[in-house]
Amino acid sequence: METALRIVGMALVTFFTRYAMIALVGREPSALFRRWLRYVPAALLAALIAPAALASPAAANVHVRWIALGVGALLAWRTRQVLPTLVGGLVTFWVLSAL
Amino acid sequence: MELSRQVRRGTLADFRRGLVATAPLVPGVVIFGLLYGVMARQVGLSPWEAWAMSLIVHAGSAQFTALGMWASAGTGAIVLTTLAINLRHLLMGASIAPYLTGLRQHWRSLLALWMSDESYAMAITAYRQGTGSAAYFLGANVGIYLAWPASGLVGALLGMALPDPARYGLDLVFPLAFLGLLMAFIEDRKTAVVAVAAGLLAIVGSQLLSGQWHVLIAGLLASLGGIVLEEVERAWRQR
Repeated sequence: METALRIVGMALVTFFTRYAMIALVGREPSALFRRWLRYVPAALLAALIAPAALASPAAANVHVRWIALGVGALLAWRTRQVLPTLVGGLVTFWVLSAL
Repeated sequence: MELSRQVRRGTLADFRRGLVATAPLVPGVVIFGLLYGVMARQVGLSPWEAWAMSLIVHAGSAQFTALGMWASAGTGAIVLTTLAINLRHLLMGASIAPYLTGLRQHWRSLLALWMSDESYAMAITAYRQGTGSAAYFLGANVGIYLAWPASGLVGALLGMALPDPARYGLDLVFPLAFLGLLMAFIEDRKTAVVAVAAGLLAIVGSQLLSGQWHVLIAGLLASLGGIVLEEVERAWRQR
């Protein structure tokens, strides 16, 4: 039930963000609002990651993990895309684990 | 001007053109979708729940972010975070809306419902080049939509077979995805400063507040700080 509520809630707010401006044709969001929107995803994602990044659990192959995350960070910085970061980091982990 | 912006409904051929044009993007969507499905299983969703989320939310970045906080956050925080991650769609909608005037409201809502980052980018490019139409936009939407929920379901069904996810490095998926997502949204020095400020605020907030509310509060304060930063910069220049 909780899961269904979450999924439906996510769907509703997502549809709202996609439809709001298309429904109200001719009405532009205010300049201030536009400027604010530019910062929201970066701020939110950083706030989400930072506390979790501090708490690094001890794992058996911790070095391999850090190297994989390092490669991911490099790819994230250079490509600014999710997919190369994910695939590059995971492949690094798999290759180093297999060695 | 008015004529160039006049709505073009397009033809079946335009629809097919839009659909086919998504083909180069589909492998990326499928890989992301498979990983989404596997990770949905790891945080405790059933394959059908994972599939349902992709079917009706259809927003990869937001879905990944939600999974990353699934166990630790409540429904309110997850829905609000989804809203915040997807606020960029308001800007996308505002930029494409002028091309959709004259379409019936139910068509406009359908196009909005399926608008993904990828299909928006394709449609707005076509519109600006003068080759866009509602049918082309619909084709691009459908192309991405065919790939996303299906790959999520396959990933979720495969994900069941993994007894020890950390062995396969799956515990790295969320940190890696978040790194990529964050960098995708850091456009210049100001967004970088805002991100650092948000991170620091969240670390302090997580010590003071329970649940995941420190994420939203830090995100809100830091993003408003971005506007303050712009104003300070402007005042500095005019000095």
